[in-house]
Order: sequence, then structure tokens, then C-alpha cells
Amino acid sequence: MRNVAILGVGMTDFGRLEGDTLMDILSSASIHAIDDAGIDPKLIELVYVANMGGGILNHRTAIASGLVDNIGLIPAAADTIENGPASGGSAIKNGVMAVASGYYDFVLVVGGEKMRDVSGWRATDFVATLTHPDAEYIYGITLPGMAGMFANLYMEKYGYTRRHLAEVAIKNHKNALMNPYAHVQMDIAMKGILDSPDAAINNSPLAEPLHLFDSCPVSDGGAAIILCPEDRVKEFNKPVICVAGFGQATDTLTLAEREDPIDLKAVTMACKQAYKRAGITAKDIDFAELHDAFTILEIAEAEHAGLYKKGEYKKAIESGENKITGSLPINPSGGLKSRGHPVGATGVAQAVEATWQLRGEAGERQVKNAGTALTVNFGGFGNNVVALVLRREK
Amino acid sequence: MKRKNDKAYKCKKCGRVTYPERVVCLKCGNREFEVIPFTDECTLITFSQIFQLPWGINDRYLTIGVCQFDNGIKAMGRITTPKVKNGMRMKANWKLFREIAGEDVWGWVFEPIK
Amino acid sequence: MDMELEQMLRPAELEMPEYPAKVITLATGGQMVVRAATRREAPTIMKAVKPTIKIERDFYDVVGSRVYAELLAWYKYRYRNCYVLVGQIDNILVGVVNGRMLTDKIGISLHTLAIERGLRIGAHLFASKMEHHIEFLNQDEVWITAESPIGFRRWMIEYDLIKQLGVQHELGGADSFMLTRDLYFKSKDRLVAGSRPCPEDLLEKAKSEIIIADEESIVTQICGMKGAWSK
Repeated sequence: MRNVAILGVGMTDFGRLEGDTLMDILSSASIHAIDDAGIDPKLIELVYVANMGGGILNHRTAIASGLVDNIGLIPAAADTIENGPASGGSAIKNGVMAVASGYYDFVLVVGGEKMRDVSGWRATDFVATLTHPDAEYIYGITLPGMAGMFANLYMEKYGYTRRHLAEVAIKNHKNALMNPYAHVQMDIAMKGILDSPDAAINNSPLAEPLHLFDSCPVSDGGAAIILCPEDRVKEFNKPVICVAGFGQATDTLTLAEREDPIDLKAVTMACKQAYKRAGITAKDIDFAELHDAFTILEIAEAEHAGLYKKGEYKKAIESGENKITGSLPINPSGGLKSRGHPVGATGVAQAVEATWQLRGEAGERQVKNAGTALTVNFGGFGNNVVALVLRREK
Repeated sequence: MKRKNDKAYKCKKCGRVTYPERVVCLKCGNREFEVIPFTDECTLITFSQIFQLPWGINDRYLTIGVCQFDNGIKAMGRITTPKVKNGMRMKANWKLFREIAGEDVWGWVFEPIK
Repeated sequence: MDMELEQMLRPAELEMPEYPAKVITLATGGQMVVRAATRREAPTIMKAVKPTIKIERDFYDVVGSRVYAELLAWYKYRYRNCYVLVGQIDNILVGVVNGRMLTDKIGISLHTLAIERGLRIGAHLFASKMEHHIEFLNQDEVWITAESPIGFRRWMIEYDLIKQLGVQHELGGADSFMLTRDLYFKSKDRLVAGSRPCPEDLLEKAKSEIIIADEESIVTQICGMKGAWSK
């Protein structure tokens, strides 16, 4: 099995991309990655497109076939990968296996979503289709609702407060101010979202105990990477950033059937697999891009990924070691909370950010001594999780 | 559309409770199940008062939670009031509670036992 | 101007207590002063509203055009029993709302125009309008309609407005809905922000000048500069 490197990366703005179609978004991200890699596009033999909503929201299916046509990659093989919010992670995993196996040398993996064509209520309904149709969806459950039920138990068991969640939000907003691609570039303050009487109205309940500023926005956007065998990176005079390990695991579809509803088994298993394949432990991670669709998930994933013991991420929050300047930066990009969450693009955007960090190209939000990164792409409500370890080899 | 949420099952081999139905037992891989009844009462495991509901629902909020029936079945359902606490005893009502695209939808509505 | 002729064209006005200014702490920690605008300030406010007339996104063109016309009519004493409230952050105009008294007991909500986005300015100013009608103008009901479907649905759900069958809102358009005194007080705690009195220095500063951004900045602020190919 060959080692697999990330040769090129690119992304679009995340936000409300009025006037741009899903195809525009995917095409732009792909071209950025191809240009960044500096390769002749004819070398690309395989394309994976990560997308969840094309059929439902944009009346577009088989989007991978359309993409290769639009950006001149015919006759490359092309597939669309749909794994809910973990579509990006899954697409990368598939791309890595394609290169590692020796079957393909240059693979484009691109994720994208166009969610703002519909109202927030329809977008909420669309995302809720990942729940069980007869045991969950029918009740009007939303993903914030699932997160609210999770947070209800997690906060109680491990002693997290709304203040801890707010600190996570504030940190990620600050990080996004340094990220020119981020959807939400707005500094927020504890006074504005928790500590003043007006905070209750600014930061109204979303799904108790979660509030508005505990949730990521609904975003459009795309991100892409070019994968190749490690030993071919030198042809392009690029730093060698490898996907050193990947892992994926599933859990029960319904939240009710989890043995322990706050045990994110799939996160733990996926990360363990990724660490094992990379030959590392959690202690070797220098920074992480976690799937903070809700602030509680940054906390829970940091703990289930083994970066902190259960209940101890609050120490990181309180000490600031999770900030960019800290000893273990989490979500230097701003995370889903502020960078945004175009569902199919997120997993790829995490890898793009990690690559920029590992290359030393993250500008103002550069993590010092970034050598090894973890990304966690949380599909469903934790029932399908993909974890990646990215490492700078030289 | 016949919704598959009106019955709970027990694996004939290992006894693992399954709700809603599935083809293969998650614990032992067996494919034969027997139907088991729901109990009238259950215990609230977790819940959330949820705002910003999906398209098709015009309520300002809904309270949705997960309850465990006294024989081990666990199910999500609507809760009649947000004034509940984890661990509360609930009455489980099987009700016609909404319509989706012209179709009557039955499901669980839990109410606190006074 | 021939004032004798002008008086024939100016409508008689109901007595309208002025909206007492308040200050709202926003999510950024910054402060927005919400106060009644004076007629003299109308031309400045109109300058800020004018660029929105070209923006199709979120029906800014319809709302902007109408607000512009309403401000002009108010300024020139051709719109009866109107008020205008403005939101200012460090003197900068971030939003404007208006309405009027149809009768002493029935209010008409006209428009809500947010120039700064992402801070719930529109929501705060709309709530301030409802506060004005019910608590300071002492009215029993407010009639509401909307041009933007998203805002409207949000208000319908948040305030639990009553649909008024067969009642035409003077703006035309969609169905007319009503906020009653009861509904207002039920929602007040969770929707109406702000504290009074507005600190004297803050209010004096806000009254001293309404700063408006240039046209390009206003359009950028509302539409953003983002695009799939912008980088």
C-alpha cells in the first residue's frame, strides 16, 4: 500500500453565495485545488464529489458526472459520495484508498453544497432526513434538537455550563476573523451572548440547553483536494503533507437505541483507527479540526477523540489552551461554527485547513509547530464518523 | 405509507430489544424476532424544547424526548410539556399527532404522570 | 411656501407620545441606541435607504423603495400619524423601522429595514416598534404584513400573530396579521430587548449626528462580497 499525499488544496468562500449554483461552487473549488497543485488536469484519473443535498435542494443528481464535464476532466472516473454531513470525510477516505491501492495516481476530491437556495425551514427539514424516518423524523426532530438532547445529558454528567459553550463559540468566532473564507466573521462577546439581560434575546433558545450562538450557520460553499502518491509530490516542488491515517465507524441510527446516548462510540473508534494507521496516539496531535456543528460537539469530540479525558475539555476552555496560541489549538479555521457548514464540503474543508496549517500557509491563524493534525467529520448524529490524521512528512 | 414504528421486537436468539424493526439483530446477527408489547409507562431519559422547526410545522416550539419503557424498549416521541426533568415517569400514548403530505401519522406522545 | 394652502394639504395628526430611547447590548457586546428620528433627519436616513432600492436580494428593492417614499411623505407632512425609529451603533445608522397610528387604538406596522446584518438588528427594531405601539402609543392592536416571506413567517411564529380574514393592510400584499396587547405582553420578555433610560451621553451623541456609509459600503454590507469565484 502506498503512502498518500495531499498535493493541492482549494476552497470557495463559505457563506451565502447568491447567484452561484452548486456546479459553480464545485467547479471553483476544484479549479483552485488543481491550480494549487500545479498539475496538468489531464493527470486526474478519478473524481469523488461529496454532496448531500444536490437532489433534494438543487434538483441535481449524479453531480460528479456533471462536474467532470464542466471542468474538462472527461474521461476520468467520477462518483458522488453521500454520507450526510460526513460526505467529505468519506470522499477523502475513498480517494485515499484509490491512491493507496495503486489503482490511481491523481485523484480530485471535492465537496460542495448549495443550501441557501431554500429557506431555513426547508434546509432544517432537509438535514432532518438523515434521521430515522419512522422513529425520529416524523416527530419534527431537527439536528439541533438531537444535539440539544445530547447536550442535556452531557452537560449534566460532566459539569459543563452554558458559559463553557459560549467560550467555545467566542473562540471560534475570533479564529474565523482571521479566515478570509469564513462564513461568519463577527466578533462576539460574553456580554452579548450570555451575561447581559439582552443576551437572552440576542442568543435565544434553539434546542434547549443549546442557543442560537451554539449552532453553526447554514452555508453554501465548496472545498477540494488533490491526492497523489507520496513519492510523486517532489515532481511538483510542494511540501509533503500525507494522509497518514484514516478511520471510520458507525453506530445505531436512532439516538434512542444507543447503549449510552452520550457515548460517541463511532468518534472514538474512528479516531483510534486513524491513530493506529498513522502509527501515533492522541498525544501526538498538534491541532485538530473538529465537527462543531454545535458547540457541545467540539467538547464531546475532543474528549471522545482521546485528546482530553471525559469531562476535562473544560480545562482547555478555561485555560485557553484550545486557542490558536495554546498548546492544542482546536478549530483554528473557526470551525463549523464560524467558518460555516456547507454539509458536503465540511469534511474536505477540514482537510484543506489542516493542509494549510501543516504547510505553514495559514497566515494570521497559523498554529505554531503544526506537524500532525486530526480531523473529525461527524455524520448523522454521530452514527457515521470519519477521522483523518494528516502529517507533514517534510 | 405504512410506518414501521408501531411495533417493538425482541430477538428470538439473544433477547436484544429492537425498536423500530430491523432485519438483523445488532447483537447476535439473528434474523428472527418476536413482537413485544409496549408498557403503558416509561421513564424520560432526555429531552429538548426545540425551536426553529422544520418546514411543515408551524408551532413556535416542540418538546421532543427519548423515553425508556419499563420492559427496555427505548423510543423518541413528542412530550406534552417542556416542564419535565430527566428521570421523570411518563405515560406513553400512541396517538394520531400530525399529517405529512396528506398522510395521517401515528406515534408516541409522552406526558408526565402527575 | 403658501402656508395657508399647505395647511389644507397637511393632515391633522393624532397626539403621539415620543418613543423613549433605549440602548440594546448586541451579540458583539456593542451597543445600539434605538430612538425616534426627527423629521429633520429624514433626508439623511433617505440617503442610506436609497441604495437598497437596487438590491433584489431578500426584497430589499421593494422594502427600500417603500421606506424611501414613506420617509419622503413623512418629511413633507403628507403621511398622517407616522413615526420613525432608528437604530444607531456609534452614530452609524444600522436600521430603520416605521409605522403609524390608524386610529388611537389601532396601529399599522409599516416597514423594517436592516442595513447591518448578522446582529438581529431587524428583529430588535421590529420588537421596538411593537413596544412603541402597545406601551407608549397605548394601542390595543397592531396590523402587520410583509413583503419578505422569511421575515414574515418568523414574526408569525415568534409572536403567534392572529390572521385577520378579510382585512386589507394598507400596504396590500400578503394577508394581514394582528398583534394584540395580550400577545405582545406574552412575548415581551423573550423578544423585546433594551434598557432605559438610555445613558445621557450616548443619546446626545446619537442625536448629534446620523452617520451613514457610502452607497457601495451599504450595498456590500447587505449583499456581502462572497461568491464561488471571488477568491
